[in-house]
Amino acid sequence: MNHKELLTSLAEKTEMSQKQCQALLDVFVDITRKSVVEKQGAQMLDLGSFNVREKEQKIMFNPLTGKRMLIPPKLVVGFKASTTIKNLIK
Amino acid sequence: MTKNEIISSMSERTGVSRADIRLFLERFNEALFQGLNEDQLVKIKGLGTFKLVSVKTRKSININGGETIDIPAHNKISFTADKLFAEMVNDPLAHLQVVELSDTPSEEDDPAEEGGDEYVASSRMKKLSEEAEVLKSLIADINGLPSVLQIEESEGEKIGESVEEKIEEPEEEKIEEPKISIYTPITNNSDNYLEDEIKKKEMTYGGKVGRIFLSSIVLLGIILGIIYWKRYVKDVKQEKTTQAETHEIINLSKDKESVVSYEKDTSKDSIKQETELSMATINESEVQSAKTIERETDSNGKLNIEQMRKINVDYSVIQGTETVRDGSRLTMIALRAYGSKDFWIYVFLANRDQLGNPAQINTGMIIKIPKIDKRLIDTSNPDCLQYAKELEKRYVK
Repeated sequence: MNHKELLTSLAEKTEMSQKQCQALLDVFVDITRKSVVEKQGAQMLDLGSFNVREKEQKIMFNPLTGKRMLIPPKLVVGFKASTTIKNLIK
Repeated sequence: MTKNEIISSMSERTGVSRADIRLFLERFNEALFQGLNEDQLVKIKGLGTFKLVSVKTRKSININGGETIDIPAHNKISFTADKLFAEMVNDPLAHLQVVELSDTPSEEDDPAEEGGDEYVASSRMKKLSEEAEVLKSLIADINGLPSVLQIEESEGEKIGESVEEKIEEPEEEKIEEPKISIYTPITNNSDNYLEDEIKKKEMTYGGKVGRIFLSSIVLLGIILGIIYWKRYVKDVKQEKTTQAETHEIINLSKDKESVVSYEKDTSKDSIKQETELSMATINESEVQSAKTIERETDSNGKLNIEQMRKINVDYSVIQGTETVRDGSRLTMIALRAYGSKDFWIYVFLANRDQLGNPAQINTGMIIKIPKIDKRLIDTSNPDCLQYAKELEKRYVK
């Protein structure tokens, strides 16, 4: 299901126009993103929680050239599904 | 930020009432589930992709009781952030770049210090760079101290002199072995080399004596490794020729024993060990050859397409049933049952009484999953896929 299909199904369910849905979804995404970027995370009991996780730096080998590379530390988004969702999709 | 906070800030920005937004989010969740169930995938622009991943049944051990338990097959959700989202989150560390490590330590320190000024994780990075320095000093020590190696080698040769050339190699090993065995926990695992170095860090700070000591241990480990390898190759060769020759080896080593017994009792013991060792390696190679034979029979066990055509599959033998959920497909049932979507045709053929064509699948339908010969649903055998396609052509117009 891509973004468009999601919007169509949302519009059907909420009985709003697709444009309205798009606007609300954008705001939701924006707020979630901001809250995650500020490292507060976003916890939704019915969906799950988004958090920032830290990946440590590591040394990797390029198997072709045999050179060692130092991969810098990185911040990534982590998502944990809530127990309600987990039970639903079992 | 909790859901309530998200709702209030959303209603502030859009002017829509809180109740409406709460409803909207609920509908959003519903749409998300629906999408996951239908396509196993939902993409949301600006946020990322939710994916439904099915996990197979696997065995695990109860930590408290120690009994083996089965973790039942289930689905889980994986989330991959959008490129934009990922970049936003990684923004504080975006300036860090992949560095190629060379033999000089100066380059390695740069990224660590850059990050260290701005980021809290700097302490970790500093630790790592310190460890790298210790490693490097160790390597330098090894390069600078070839004398240690020479001394030990000459020691080995002195005792081996009176014996024949062939015995010299194992002789060296024997003298080193008792020394090494004390420190085996340190030298044994070359995989944990880095960790070991970290443990050794404090010791190396203790002074040069400690460093020389450690580097000599590392050297001994390397020498031992080379000798073992040589011996292994030798033994395999000997094993390949004839058994009579292996008897000769044992006889030879007995001869060695008599020769060395004139010298020291300790070396006598060590030669006994050696004969045991050579026996052990011979046994190992025998086991290996047995394994290769097993593999050959495995590859013979794969059926080719002609043999498959001869097999009559009994679709009335059922290994289980599955109730169709919203939007499920035969391919997904096959994936869960046989580990590959390609074998859905077997599921279809078993349910031809209720299914006219494969697309005619409805929620709530109970689908029978037939028990299929494992050789027919071998994902590693391309003939299986070909045969499944052939069946599709034959039964589905």
